Amino acid sequence: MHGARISLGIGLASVAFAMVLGVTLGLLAGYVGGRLDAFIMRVADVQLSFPAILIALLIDGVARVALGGERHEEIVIPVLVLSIGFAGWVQYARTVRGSTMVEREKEYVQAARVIGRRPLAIMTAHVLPNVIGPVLVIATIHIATAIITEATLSFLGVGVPATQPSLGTLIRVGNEFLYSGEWWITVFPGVALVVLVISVNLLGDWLRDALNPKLR
Amino acid sequence: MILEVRGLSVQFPSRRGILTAVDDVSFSIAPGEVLGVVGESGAGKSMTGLAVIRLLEPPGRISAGEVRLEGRRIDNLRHEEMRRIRGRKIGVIFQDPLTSLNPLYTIGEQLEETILTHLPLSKSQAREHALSLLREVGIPAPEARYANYPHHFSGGMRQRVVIALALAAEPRLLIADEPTTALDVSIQAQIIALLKRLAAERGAAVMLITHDMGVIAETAQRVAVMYAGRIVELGPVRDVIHSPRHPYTVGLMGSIPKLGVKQDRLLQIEGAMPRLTAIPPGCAFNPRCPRRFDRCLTARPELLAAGTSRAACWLHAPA
Amino acid sequence: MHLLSLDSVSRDFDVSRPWLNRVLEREPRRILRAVDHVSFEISKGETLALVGESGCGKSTVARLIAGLYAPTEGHIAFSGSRLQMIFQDPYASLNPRWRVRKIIAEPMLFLKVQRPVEQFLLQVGLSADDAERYPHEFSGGQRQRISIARALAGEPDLLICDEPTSALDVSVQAQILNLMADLQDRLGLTYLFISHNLAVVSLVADRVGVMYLGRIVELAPASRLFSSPRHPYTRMLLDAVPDLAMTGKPRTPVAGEVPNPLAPPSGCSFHPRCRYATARCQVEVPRFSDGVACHAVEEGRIPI
Repeated sequence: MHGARISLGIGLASVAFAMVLGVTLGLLAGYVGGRLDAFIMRVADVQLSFPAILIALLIDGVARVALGGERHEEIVIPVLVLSIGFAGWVQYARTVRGSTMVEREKEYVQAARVIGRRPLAIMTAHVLPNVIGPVLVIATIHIATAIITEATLSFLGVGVPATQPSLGTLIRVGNEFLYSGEWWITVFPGVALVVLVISVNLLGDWLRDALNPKLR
Repeated sequence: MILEVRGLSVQFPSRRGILTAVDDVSFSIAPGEVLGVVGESGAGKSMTGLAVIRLLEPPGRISAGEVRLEGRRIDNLRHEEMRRIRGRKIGVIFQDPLTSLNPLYTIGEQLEETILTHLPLSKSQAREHALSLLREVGIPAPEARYANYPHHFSGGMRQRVVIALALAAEPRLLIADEPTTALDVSIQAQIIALLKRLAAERGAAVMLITHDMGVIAETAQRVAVMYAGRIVELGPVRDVIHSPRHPYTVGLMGSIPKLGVKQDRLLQIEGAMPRLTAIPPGCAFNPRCPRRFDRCLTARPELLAAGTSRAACWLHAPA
Repeated sequence: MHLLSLDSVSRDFDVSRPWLNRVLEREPRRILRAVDHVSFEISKGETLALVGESGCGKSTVARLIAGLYAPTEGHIAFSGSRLQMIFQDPYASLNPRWRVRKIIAEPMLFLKVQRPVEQFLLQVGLSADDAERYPHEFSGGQRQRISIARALAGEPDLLICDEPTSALDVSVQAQILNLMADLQDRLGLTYLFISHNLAVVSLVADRVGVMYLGRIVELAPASRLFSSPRHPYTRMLLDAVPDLAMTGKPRTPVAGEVPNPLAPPSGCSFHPRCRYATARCQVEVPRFSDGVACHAVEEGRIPI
């Protein structure tokens, strides 16, 4: 149970971070356009050519080296959150950028400009509420992915250490005991992980349907 | 008569019950004649046109009435037969030339496809026919443009191509739904003149659906004014425009700004056309009518004789 | 002292293909001159209309004045305190996520004194409790009224109206045009009215500017423009308007189409469609003088 809590906690936190980062960059890229847009999108493109796991591994690895073993253990969870978050911001940015570019041309945005609102105010007060819908749906599904990513990292040994085990860590640790009779150390966290991920996916499906005005 | 419509009604079910978008509509069009069908948004004019050619989107359906093309009923044909008639005997021109043409095929290919589907011609004969059609609709140097794609043409030229396509199989009936609305006024004038000429030359019947009374004035001989799914006035264009008999038509004509007529304020009809879910009993126009009386609230008027036109208004009831 | 004056204002847009495509295919940059040395003034209390067909630049002029674009050349001088704008599309000009109250209150964020939102709703013929609703609960005509209320809340000296009734039914248009005329009488507003509909313009405008491919070709008081148009394009436009009065007047057939604004004809851009065009018209851009820019008029070649 405690392991599940850590897994879920890391999942939620990294998604929240990815969402804030991605939405912000997407809004900026879509609204400001020009060179800023080109730059952000190129960074996104480059990042997309790497699997998320590798990116998370990279950031985590850098952190380990930079902070040294002990320091790293203390703040391993925030580092994990950041690395999984950095691995996943691109999908939010892309979606938001596309919607922002559409909304930017609409006349209510131009009206706000004529009224004299600043670009930042327009982005947050006008555009953001109109582009945020799909983001929430992506986020719930992303939570499941984040949890699995964390589990994978921990299983590989580069995630949460055994002192504060997440489900992945437990699976890894339990793996060693698999054939020695204490199989449940691996299997139960494994089952818990599956149940957690399925629940989150179902939540995402429900949310998508609930937010769809055509189905009301 | 090429087209005869009697008692046509179109309904579709919705969450709030069955809605009647077209309610007991009757009219006819003779060869070479242009009938204008005018009304504001929601009046049902496009639905009427779609019902005639059986292109209603389900769950909308014809719930009553008959449609006869050259004497033969077409409202109850099977889909296969209707499909053949639609291309061969009926040509359709929609509002947006951009989406009426397939962007992936040249105009030559699209014309030939239509011609070959409906007429027993060889490929080279079809090409000749296509070229002559393009000439007829005023595309300069058609041989050179034959292999062009739709996006190579301007809006007005595209609409001409659409008209050529509609005429390709030598239809008896042409239905034009807002054919000039998306075009600039100078191009509009050219397209209007083209439609008029083609109808007269080919003896085809034209059903011209539009919200623009000016286009009707230029093109049509008779006009049907629609409101809330019903025809409220039907008569010769000149008479309906200059001496309208139905209070709605009076209001409509008064609210159109006219070039060269100095006015301070336009005539204003209070309120708005009722939604399909809230059509009042009796005469649908009665809540907004400055001349209503008791009978209007309870009984729905049919088209009654009123001078040279007919108007669905109890003011014209025989005394 | 005019409320608004434009001095030889031009605006270019770079519509070149993306840099990589251009480099690989060796294409030059493509610049679209949407507005070409446009000059005019508006006095307080009057309604100036700009008419023209698509691509003539009238909407771009509106946006230049509103500050949505900056002029590439030339100068815009506004001597009033505030200007507001109403747009064509009633469905896109109001934020669908905001209540009407917030929409109308927005311009007042920049004013010292905030008036009650209900006041403006009543002024445009809506009711006070409409303030709590969302835009999608209103019809097109009502939404335009909300847009007008929002503009009024900003206490503008100049109101720019970009095709405000083009998307509305004719009877709704009549209501909105009447409303705008009433407001002008009561509040002393000044309007810049952009439209492609000449009949509407003949109703609302004191002076009219006719635009073609980014230039003003004729600028005259409305009464004069409609009774005795001078520029051949103005004549052609007026001829092309469907004749509702059915006078059966003979009409000169309209020639050709508006050329591609990316590659406008040389000299006077109207010359390919003009029956009075001479060699000079193909080479020399006509100067704007006495309200019209046309060689044939200048040379007295056009019968009145």
